[in-house]
Amino acid sequence: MPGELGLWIFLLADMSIFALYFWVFIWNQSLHPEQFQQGQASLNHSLGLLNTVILLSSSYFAAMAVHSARGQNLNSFRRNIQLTIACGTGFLLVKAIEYGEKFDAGLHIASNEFYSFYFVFTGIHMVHVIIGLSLLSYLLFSLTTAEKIRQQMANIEGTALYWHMVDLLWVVLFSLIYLLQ
Amino acid sequence: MTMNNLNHNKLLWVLVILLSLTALSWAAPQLAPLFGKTMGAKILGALLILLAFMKVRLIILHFMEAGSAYPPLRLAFEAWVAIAGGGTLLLYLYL
Repeated sequence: MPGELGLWIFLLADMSIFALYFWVFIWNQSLHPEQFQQGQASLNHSLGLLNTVILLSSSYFAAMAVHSARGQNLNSFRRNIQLTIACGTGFLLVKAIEYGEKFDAGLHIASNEFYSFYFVFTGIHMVHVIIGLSLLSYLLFSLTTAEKIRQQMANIEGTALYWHMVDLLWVVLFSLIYLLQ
Repeated sequence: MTMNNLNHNKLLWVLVILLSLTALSWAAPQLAPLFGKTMGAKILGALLILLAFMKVRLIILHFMEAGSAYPPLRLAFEAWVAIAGGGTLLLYLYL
C-alpha cells in the first residue's frame, strides 16, 4: 500500500467534505436554475478545460515520480516532480487569469448564488493546490540523492496521493461548475 | 519488457483514457439536441456526472494505486465513488 493508513483516512475525510459540496451545489442549482445557467454560460470554458488537462497530466507525472523513486532513479524522479510542479503552477496561473476576467467584469463572491459557489469551491480547491505544490517543492529541494529518496519513500508516496486527490476533486468540480446544465 | 516499463505504459494509457473521457465530456453538449431540449439536457447532465466519476475511479485505482491496496482500503474508496457519484446523480435527476 502506498503512503500511510492515516493519510488515506485523511484523504477520504477531505473527499467526503467535497462530496457534500457537490450535493449542496446540485441542490442550489435546482433552486436557482436560470441564475446557474447564466453563470455557467459566463464562465471561460476553454480555461476550465485547459486546467483539467493540466491537472490530469500533473497526476500522471506524480505517479511516474513515485515509480521512478521506487526504482531509485534520481534523475527521472526529479524530472517528474519538476513537471508536476510546472503543471500545478500552470493551473494557478490559468486560475488567476480566469479570476481576473471575472473581477474585470465586476463579478465577485457576493454577485449571486452561482458566483458564491464558484469562488468558494474553486478557492478551497486552489488552497489544496497550493498545499500540494508546497509539499512537492519540499520533495524537490530536500531529496537530492538516491539514498534520501529511499529513506523518504513514504513521504513521496503520501505527497503523490495528496496530489491525485487534488486532481480528482477538480475533475468533478469542472464537470459540475462548468459543464452541467 | 521490464516491470518498470509495463508500469509506465499502464500509467500512460490511463492518462490517454482520462483525456479522452474529458474530450467526450467537452463534446457531449453538442449531442443534447438529439434527445429534445428538456430530456436532452437531463440525459447530458447524467452522462457528464457519470463520466466525471468514471475518471475519478480511474485516478483512485491506477494513479493512487488503491486497486492494489489492501481490500478494506479499496472498498472504502470504491464506496466513496458510489456514494458521492450516486448521490450527485440522484440529486441531479430528482430535484
